[in-house]
Amino acid sequence: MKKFLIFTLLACAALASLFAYQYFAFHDGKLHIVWCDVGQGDGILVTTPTDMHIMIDAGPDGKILDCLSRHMGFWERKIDLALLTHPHADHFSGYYYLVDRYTLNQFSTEDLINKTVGFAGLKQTLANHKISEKIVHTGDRWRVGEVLLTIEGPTKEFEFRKNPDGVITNSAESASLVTLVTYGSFRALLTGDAPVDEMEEILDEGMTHVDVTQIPHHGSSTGVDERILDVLSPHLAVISVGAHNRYGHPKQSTLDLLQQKGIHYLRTDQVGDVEIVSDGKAWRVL
Amino acid sequence: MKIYIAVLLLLMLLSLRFFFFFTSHHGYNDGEEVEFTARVTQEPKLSSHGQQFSLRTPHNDTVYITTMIFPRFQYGDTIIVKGKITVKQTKNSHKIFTTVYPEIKRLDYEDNLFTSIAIFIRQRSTLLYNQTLDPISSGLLLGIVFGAKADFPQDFIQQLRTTGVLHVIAASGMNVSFFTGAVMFSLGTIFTRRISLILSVIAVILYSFLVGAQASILRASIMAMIAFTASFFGRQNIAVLGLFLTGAGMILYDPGFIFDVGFQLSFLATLGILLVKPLIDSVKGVDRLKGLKEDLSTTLSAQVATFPILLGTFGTFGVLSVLVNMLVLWTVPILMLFGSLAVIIGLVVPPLGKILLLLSLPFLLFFEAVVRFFGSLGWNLQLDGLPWEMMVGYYLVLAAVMLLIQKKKSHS
Repeated sequence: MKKFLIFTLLACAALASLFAYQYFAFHDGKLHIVWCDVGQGDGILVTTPTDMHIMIDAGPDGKILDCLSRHMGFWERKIDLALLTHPHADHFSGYYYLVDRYTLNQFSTEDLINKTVGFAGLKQTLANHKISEKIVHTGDRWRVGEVLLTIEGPTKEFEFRKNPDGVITNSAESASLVTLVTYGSFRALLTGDAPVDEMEEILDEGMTHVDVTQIPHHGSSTGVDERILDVLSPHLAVISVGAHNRYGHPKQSTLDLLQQKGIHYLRTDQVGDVEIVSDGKAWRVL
Repeated sequence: MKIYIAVLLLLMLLSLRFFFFFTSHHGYNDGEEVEFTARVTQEPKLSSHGQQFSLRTPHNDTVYITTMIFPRFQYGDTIIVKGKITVKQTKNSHKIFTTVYPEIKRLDYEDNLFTSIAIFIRQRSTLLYNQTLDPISSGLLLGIVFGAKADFPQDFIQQLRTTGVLHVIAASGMNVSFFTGAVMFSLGTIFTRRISLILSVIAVILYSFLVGAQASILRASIMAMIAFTASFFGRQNIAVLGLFLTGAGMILYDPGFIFDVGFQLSFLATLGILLVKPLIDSVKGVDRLKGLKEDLSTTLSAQVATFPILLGTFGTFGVLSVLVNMLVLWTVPILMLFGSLAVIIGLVVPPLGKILLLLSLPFLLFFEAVVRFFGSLGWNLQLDGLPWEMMVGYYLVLAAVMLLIQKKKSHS
């Protein structure tokens, strides 16, 4: 009995120190954007200065959970907003795991479906957990404290033009949510698997310089061209990609283009999670 | 004389049973339609193809299943699978049996009260674990308490393997053996023998019921209880005989058990606690450890007895595995206690269950950190299974050492 008490006290002390450490590490009143190392796929966690957690895609499997436990306190179990850029498995399968372990409040995605077993499973998962679904398009936005999330693409017209039947193709990239995160003067663009024509349309709508951009579609050549990089003129580009993937992502031509434009880039397959912190003025890579 | 005849009869019975069992063992042909009942022993992997897991059929074959995301299956579910087998050959010409999107029926709530309670408890506690702890911690705890094989990241599984602690989470039978041992002998230092025996029997029955009375856990509980009860009252010979009889009975029931690592581990761990523990306890200086003495000598003796099996079965053997096991195994009885109390209390008052689980978090993080640290050193010895000659050799040497110590003891 005495032994049991000693172990319990020991556990309490250890837990209290862990809490103190994580509390100060994760609650610094700044904006954090983490491109999780989920292998081949996308999974991005945005933590606002007011400690709201926003998920943009959840990767292909359970690896997203390990990323969340690296970047959230052990007592935090709520995702305030979940986005899915487009219904491809390397972006949504992680949500199967997420809903079992976290409370998900809102789920938003584009107006496309996929006719796979996996996507049907996702729909059923959301329904079973009574998570409401919302369709979003260009112009939809969320304000979380001083952080603003704006959907920059696709428009309803673009989505329909590329997928008249509302079903995404599994072979080519057709349309994907592109989200702009702004906090003070800091701007970051999260691009999912957006194709070049969608990005072009976003530029035509008046998109300007961003501090950090994600390179669409895991650094494939389908997502960027010279004009896009010129207009965005980012200080940092992030490529979310798995090592030795069978698609040959990122494409050498994309890397060459980045080099040629003098844009520094980070790859999740090389450095693991990529985390950016901003206080609304300055920003840095953690 | 009577005993010899009984043993001879038992052996004959066993060999007959083996003969019929293994002549019926057949494997499958490509395209064969099959129907079998099996228990899910691992947490299914979820991907865009659906759920994936492997099953051991009643004929001792392993079949890999791919099925839809819904309905979701869990470790511990008993399911009836009806489908077409596809045979694949691996590089080293092993045959792999798979079936994709078969018809699956789960033996469910309607079947009987016992299963429905077990399913309910398992689902509730998995949920509680998953919602309270990070995936690696909850996976470790589910493995330690329930014997469920979690869906860990590949690199962590590799580290568990190289550090030689995969047995803690893969074959729960052994945990039960030394949990039972630890509870019984620890209680023995507080209460009278009779009371501590009754208390620990209740604890073990409650525990095996809680975790859904899986075969591996039931087996281990029964063996451990019979053996330790006898030993507790100082009847070591009867305890050993009891253990062998129980073991033989179980093999008679299902000869496949003899190849089941869980069975081997729990049998040997119990035997180790019966025979090796008294010798460790008698070593001078051990008494100075006071409260830790029982835990230490129980885990150590179980380890000594199971060493070659752990080494042989879990493939690669980390040079550091002995050290790592010593560093982490003391947490196992504590984790089993916190983990199972959390289940019981969490059923009534979920927030209290969560608090208990959080109390186990520091131990789990310690467990993970030790495995990660030593696992990343990568000092491992590649072994493609241990030759049986070495296993026999190990046990002969062990027996010799034990006899020597015993002889010295009786002289002094």
